[in-house]
Amino acid sequence: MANEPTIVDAVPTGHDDNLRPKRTLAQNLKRFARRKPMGAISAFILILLALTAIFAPVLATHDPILQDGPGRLQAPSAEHWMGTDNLGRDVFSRVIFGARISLEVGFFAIGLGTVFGVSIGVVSGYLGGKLDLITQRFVDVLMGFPFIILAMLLVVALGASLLNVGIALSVAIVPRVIRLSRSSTLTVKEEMYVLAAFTVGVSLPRMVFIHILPNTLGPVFVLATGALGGVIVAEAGLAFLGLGIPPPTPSWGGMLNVGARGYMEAAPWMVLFPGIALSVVVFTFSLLGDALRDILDPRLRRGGS
Amino acid sequence: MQKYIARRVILFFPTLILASVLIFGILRILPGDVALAILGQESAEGGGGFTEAQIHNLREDLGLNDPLPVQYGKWVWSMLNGEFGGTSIRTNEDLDDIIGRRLPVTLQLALYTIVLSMVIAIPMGVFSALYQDKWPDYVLRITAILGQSMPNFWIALLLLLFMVTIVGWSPPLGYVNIWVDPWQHIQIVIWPALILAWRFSAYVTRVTRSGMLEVLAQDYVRTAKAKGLSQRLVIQRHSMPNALIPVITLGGLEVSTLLGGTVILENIFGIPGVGQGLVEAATGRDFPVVQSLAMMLVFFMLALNLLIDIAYSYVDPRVRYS
Repeated sequence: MANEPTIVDAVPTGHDDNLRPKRTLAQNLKRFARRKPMGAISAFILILLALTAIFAPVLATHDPILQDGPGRLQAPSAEHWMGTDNLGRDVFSRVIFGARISLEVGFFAIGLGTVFGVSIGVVSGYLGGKLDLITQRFVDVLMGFPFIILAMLLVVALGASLLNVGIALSVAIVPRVIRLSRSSTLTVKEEMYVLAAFTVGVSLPRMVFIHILPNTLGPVFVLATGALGGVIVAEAGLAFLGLGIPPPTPSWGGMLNVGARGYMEAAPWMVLFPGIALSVVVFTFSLLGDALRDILDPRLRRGGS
Repeated sequence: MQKYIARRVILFFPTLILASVLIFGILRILPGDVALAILGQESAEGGGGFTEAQIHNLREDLGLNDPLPVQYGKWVWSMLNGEFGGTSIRTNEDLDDIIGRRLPVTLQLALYTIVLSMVIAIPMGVFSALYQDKWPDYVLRITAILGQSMPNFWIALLLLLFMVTIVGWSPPLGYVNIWVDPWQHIQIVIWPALILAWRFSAYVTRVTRSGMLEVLAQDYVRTAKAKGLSQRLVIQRHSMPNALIPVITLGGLEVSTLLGGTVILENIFGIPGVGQGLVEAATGRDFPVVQSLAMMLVFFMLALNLLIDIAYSYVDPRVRYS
């Protein structure tokens, strides 16, 4: 959060924002809430979600993997708020713990993918030439792959585990990050301060990582926020197909998996609640992404859609 | 324009080669031995052990004893010959049979989806633009946002649940080809196509809407109105053709999402397409099948994108000269 003002200032705003005194974080948040109520609501929901994930052991009413033969397929009640599944596990507790898995995988994949993508994109954009050309061909090809198929191939190759699913999904977002950070590097490269740094004779790593990279992060940050929802759905999709994090770990996609389908008619709550959780998360992440984009990129402020 | 098309066609081949290297490479980064992994799984299932000779034989069968470039070369050569790299490890079925059986099913599904979404989305986008910021616009936009944020497999489950519990009807289980029994075919295929189309049309609606808004603000549209043309003519003849250009180009990008979606939905509705085969093979660690089916999907995606680019250059004269 410390470098957030830098991010905002890095984008030409078209207003006189730069002339005004720097706002504190609290003032910034207040402004954000006033200008983008939907964005603020979604940020609030996501904070709740993060808290849910962190305090899952406290919030859960039951052990999420404890099976209970006689108590299977129970309808929602005071004891089991969202009912029980085909193995007698408490659906509410599993949804709570599922938030953990989704967020863990989501943030890990986005973090890893962003670090890799930005490093490659910035270097490729700054150096240009053959290296850039080759990188761009690779990016084109990777962009062409359906996201889920690329992730699937990687999971098959690496084996399914929390770490590997995260890695697979991070690879899937890397090309988009590369493309974006490369294009912002091309703009930043022309700035006076880069020329100044060059004249002073800073080393290549210092130039790339200290002078250029921080100034390209704004749009990447937006992309990453928007993509988080997509990554979480992809994780759920893999788990749904039986290629995700192996059971009994409670994950939303896994809860919707083949296991649940046979019991869907008898116990609709088994598919209802994890799906609602997933949809809400994806929806809020895309809302937040949109709000951030509008704020960071004034060119889109009057966008037609 | 020939030059533009020629350039796109020439670029197509390196992209294809890179894609094949990538697929091949990813499936070779497995830490450990594929043959061992397969035998380990088989013997765990069968309860018995396996011998050194078995490992060697399997490695030989899979061509794993060759150096990587040779393996890659053999795979590409067999694809060019239409054999697609031998047989499935699990079922021993020839890969060209598997692909011949599965590919048309998936392409059909993709085609239905595209047609359905065009039929639904273009009028919706135009309508939305004409009623900008009035309630029909909001309803359509919210529907579109829902289509984009609800995971397609969850929509599918809800739909099945709804049909079984409330309507009391569920789609027939056995997939049949459209030539055999069109009615049963449609009863099965319409649902995944509709679900995929929801998402795809969410996107088409958005692009059509903003395209229309832009065009409607143009001077020549005002001129057309001013000279007394009917509303219908202004929209159909003067506005829509120009508004729809971005739908074509940007549609290419969404095709990959669409094909990704078929993978999941085929598995839910029991449609024996490439996606279902891919998941089956992936779960069973059937590497030759995974490799070739993935390659096929990517090939068709790239080919579709090429076609779209070419179509674009016909539709939009500005492209030809750039």
